[in-house]
Amino acid sequence: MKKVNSKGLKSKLKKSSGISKRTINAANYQKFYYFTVMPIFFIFFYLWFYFRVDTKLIYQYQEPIFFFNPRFFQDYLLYPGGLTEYIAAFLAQLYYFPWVGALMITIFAGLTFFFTRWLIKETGAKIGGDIISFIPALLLLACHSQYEFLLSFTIGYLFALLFLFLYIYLVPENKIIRFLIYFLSSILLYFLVGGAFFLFVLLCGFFELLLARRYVLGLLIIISSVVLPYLAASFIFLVSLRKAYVHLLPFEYVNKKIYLLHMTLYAFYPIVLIVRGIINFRNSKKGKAVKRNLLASFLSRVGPRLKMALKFIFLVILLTITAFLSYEKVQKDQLMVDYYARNHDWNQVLKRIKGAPRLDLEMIFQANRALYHLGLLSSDMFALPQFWGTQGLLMPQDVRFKYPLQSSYFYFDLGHINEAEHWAHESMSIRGETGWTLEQLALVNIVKGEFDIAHVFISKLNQTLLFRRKANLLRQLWNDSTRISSDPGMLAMRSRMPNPEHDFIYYSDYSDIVLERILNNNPSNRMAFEYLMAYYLLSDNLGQFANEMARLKDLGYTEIPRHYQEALVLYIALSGNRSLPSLEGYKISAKTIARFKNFQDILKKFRGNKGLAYNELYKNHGNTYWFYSIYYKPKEQ
Amino acid sequence: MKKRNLIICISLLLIIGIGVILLFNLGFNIEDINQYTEIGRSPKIDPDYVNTVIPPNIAPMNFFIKEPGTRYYVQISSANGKEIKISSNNGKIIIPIRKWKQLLNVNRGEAINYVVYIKNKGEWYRYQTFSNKIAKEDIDSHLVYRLIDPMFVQSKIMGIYQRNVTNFHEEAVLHTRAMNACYNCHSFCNKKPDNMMMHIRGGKGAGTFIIQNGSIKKINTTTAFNKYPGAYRSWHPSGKIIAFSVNIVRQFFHAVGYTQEGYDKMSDLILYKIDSNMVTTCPDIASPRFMETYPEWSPDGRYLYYCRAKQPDSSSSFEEVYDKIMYDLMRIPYDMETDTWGKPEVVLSHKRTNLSVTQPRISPDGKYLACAMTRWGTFSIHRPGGDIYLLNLKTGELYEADVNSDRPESYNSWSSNSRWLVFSSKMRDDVITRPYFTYIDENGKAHKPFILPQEDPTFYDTFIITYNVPELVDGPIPVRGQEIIRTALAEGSTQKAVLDPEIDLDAVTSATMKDEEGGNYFHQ
Repeated sequence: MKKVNSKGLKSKLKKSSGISKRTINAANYQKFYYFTVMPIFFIFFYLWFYFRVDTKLIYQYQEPIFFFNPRFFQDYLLYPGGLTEYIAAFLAQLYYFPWVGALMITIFAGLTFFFTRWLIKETGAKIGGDIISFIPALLLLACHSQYEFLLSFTIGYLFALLFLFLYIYLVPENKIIRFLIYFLSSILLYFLVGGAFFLFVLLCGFFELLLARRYVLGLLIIISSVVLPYLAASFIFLVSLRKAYVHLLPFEYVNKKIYLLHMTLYAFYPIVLIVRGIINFRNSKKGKAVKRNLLASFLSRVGPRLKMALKFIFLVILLTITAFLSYEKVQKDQLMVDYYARNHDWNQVLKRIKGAPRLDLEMIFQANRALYHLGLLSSDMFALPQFWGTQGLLMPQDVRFKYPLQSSYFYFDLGHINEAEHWAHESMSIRGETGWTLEQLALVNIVKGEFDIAHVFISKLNQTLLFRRKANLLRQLWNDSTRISSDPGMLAMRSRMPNPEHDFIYYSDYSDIVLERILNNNPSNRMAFEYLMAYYLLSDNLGQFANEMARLKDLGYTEIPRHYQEALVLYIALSGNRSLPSLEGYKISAKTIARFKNFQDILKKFRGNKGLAYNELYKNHGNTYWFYSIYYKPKEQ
Repeated sequence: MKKRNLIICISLLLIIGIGVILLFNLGFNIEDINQYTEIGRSPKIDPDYVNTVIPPNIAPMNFFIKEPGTRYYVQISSANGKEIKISSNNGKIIIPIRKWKQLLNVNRGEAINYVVYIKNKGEWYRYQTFSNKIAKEDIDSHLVYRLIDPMFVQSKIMGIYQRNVTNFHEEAVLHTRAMNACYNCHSFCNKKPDNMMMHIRGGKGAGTFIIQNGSIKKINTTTAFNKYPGAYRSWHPSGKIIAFSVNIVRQFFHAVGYTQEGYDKMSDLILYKIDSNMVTTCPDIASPRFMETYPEWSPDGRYLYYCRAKQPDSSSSFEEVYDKIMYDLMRIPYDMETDTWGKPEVVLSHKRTNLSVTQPRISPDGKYLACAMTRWGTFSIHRPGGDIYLLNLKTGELYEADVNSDRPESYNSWSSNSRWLVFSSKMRDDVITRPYFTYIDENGKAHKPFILPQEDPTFYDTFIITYNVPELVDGPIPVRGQEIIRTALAEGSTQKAVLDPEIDLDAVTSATMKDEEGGNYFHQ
């Protein structure tokens, strides 16, 4: 009874208020749009950045810097767009916590959606632009899925849209007042966002020209703004003319993918205004007799529910395609490997390497570090595809400049503390005073006993947002000299350091010489020994390798590691036992000899044809030095 | 009624405002300290502005009191003028600039005294008074320097800055933000900012820039003799000639102790004549047997001082020779009117001191030569034992300036009145180079140095940037950085220097470094 009454009441209300079936459908659609489509879109957006992109990796890649320090702020006031970069530097700290980082990007996407939807409605478009309004947010998803895409670009772009919103909403109709307010706000916006203010300029200009049809004002807006960066670079700010014009615009990106995505994002709004302007123009020419386009006439025949469903499906397809195309799987793998290496989670490093479809030099470099730290370098390193040869063991000089901090970590492990300091400084020069770099410099100098400079790095670290806890831990260490001399990690580290009485010169291009010198300087440095041996194996220098076998005993090896046995067997086979060094009680196992025999038999089976023997050798001996020696050994070596 | 209410409101606001102002200006600064305990020592302060001689026109020398406490109170006074009283909750003593200037100005030649009270655990303590002396002579108003990372190989961000040392105003003259390049070797003629030169390396804007009376020239100083442009430089006092060194510099790293190391592989001297745009040299300053570097004109322009070392045997590896390269201080007479050279003479041999002489700078009154001396080579900043020495040019007496620490000291520059010397030092933390000032009295005695004052006294605790090539100059640089960059990037703006046709290339280090990879590495 109640239900009937209720239905009857609703029906009466609808009838009495004259609401047609059509408007009910529109209301339903609005409901569906705001309570289903939008939440699904933004929930996906959030989950995408939380799980798939993982904003902590964006933080790790970009290492954004923010200090609570007046000079740090003042430096951002010295050029147009600096304030936006300052805000971005602060907000980018949130990337460190993926759930907050993902939320932040989602909020920015929400703002983008809001401004876009508002602008499309403002143009007088009869369609709500319900799907089109999502396009900039989709582009933002694609942009931020690129680990190198900077937050400052999004913030600059949003400021430009905000100013446009305020201009259209709040500025009175009087043309002179309108221009004056525009001019003052454009100066303010230029200082705030630099070149990104051109988005505001274009949109204000186009709005006046194409929609409001205030032609003189529109032209004045565009012309007056073109000279602003020139004047700023010539008389106010110490910046290049190029930077004055393009800073925080897509032109700053070298990465073509980001450039195109970002450019499309910027082009979207002027295109919307131009299209709308053309439609308005045609409408005014032809009066009401406007031909409907094919899509519109098709949609008009489709039922409202189906229309809703079609639009929704279309949006889901767009979202899926955008996400799929923008996902940087290879880069994510690299960053994850780097992440685990920074955290000394060596098992995870190897796990990630094994699952990665493509291995770059840095990944192999970190994998070799992981193998060493797990005690597997001398027995399992050839289980990995060592196709980078010695470069995967010790990155060459030019690559080190790409990974200066990772190089510093490596030399720190190796006990070559001056090189750890050197590369941490390179990192600071290349990437700025980032939290990890300052932490490393503080630690290196504590180990070196350079406490005055360590204090400077700790104090600076203490001005960051995220590294204060680490600064406090380092300060505790810095304050407590007894802890430094009793901490097991410190003691182990110092035991690997070179003998302070015997200096030597570091050759950046001759890694084997450096390793030899480290080892000669401090023969108890087991890492230097294993890396040197690995270097000889990777460079096929079996003579030198054999010579170094004499160090096994002093370093406490109970048996000859597997790869060393393999190399020795091969060495004997190649040199015919002529110059085999004394093994001082160590033995090559019968198992190794049997495996080598099997390896040779397979080769013989294919009459020495390496190409034909590959599959079988890979299956049975793919993790041996012999296999590397035949198939992976780099040509130049 | 409404009007009355308004008047009452405004009056109340005024009273509150005045109260707040008084509270901040008086109440916070005047401590009621009737009872206190005497501490028999001076408080520890940072920077160490104690027992030194300070210029009467220097910016307030703010400091941080490194003693535990909840309240700090400092009285600064001298023989004349009004005492300055400062209170602080955090130990940072920020001296009001106007009061400071007044106090210093009326007390030239007098002592300035500091009384420090600290409240700790509810009790006030008074520390022993410490003092500085106010010199009679001003220091030049501006210090021009390069700010750069404590560089090893790469350095992406740098700038040339000028700081007004009589206050805290610092301004970037050039910055990589404006043009991505390496800026270095800024130099001034006779300590005046009107005649300036500097180098820009790398990129389209590269060149040597000479700024004279507001006009900027961009010069390419390379010629058939010198494949690489001039580097270290010295203006002839006439303003018509600049002496340059042309260097090939190498950098490498040590495994133990100080990490960085640098050495000159080859070097020569050249003269650049501004009016005729001509590069010239002579066999005595561009000898194949020697490496000549760090030119410095005497104030009368009649001598060119420079450093000279034997050219190492080319068959030796650098590891064998780098720590055996020892530089002597030389000078050679030059007559600008006739463009003729005299015979070079050794002013200071390394054999006398067993130290290598580098970066000689002569005081404008011609009495003293300040230089850095080090165990080998020219890069005194890279190793302990790099110290500032003074040479009395009349008597030939050489002595270590009382400014050195057990950490490296290096580049130096005199003030125009010859009473102040600024020099680079790593004395604070062993890694970052910072400018220190010392007063050189009439007898040539250097007094305890003090670091460039900053508005925030804890500034140096977190500033990880090196002050490079500090140059004292009597006023601000008259051209703007934008103009220099415009000239640097303008098409066809470079004037290629011509080589003096009378130079016999075979007699000098013939076409220096033709097959060598050149490199300029100026990190002092």
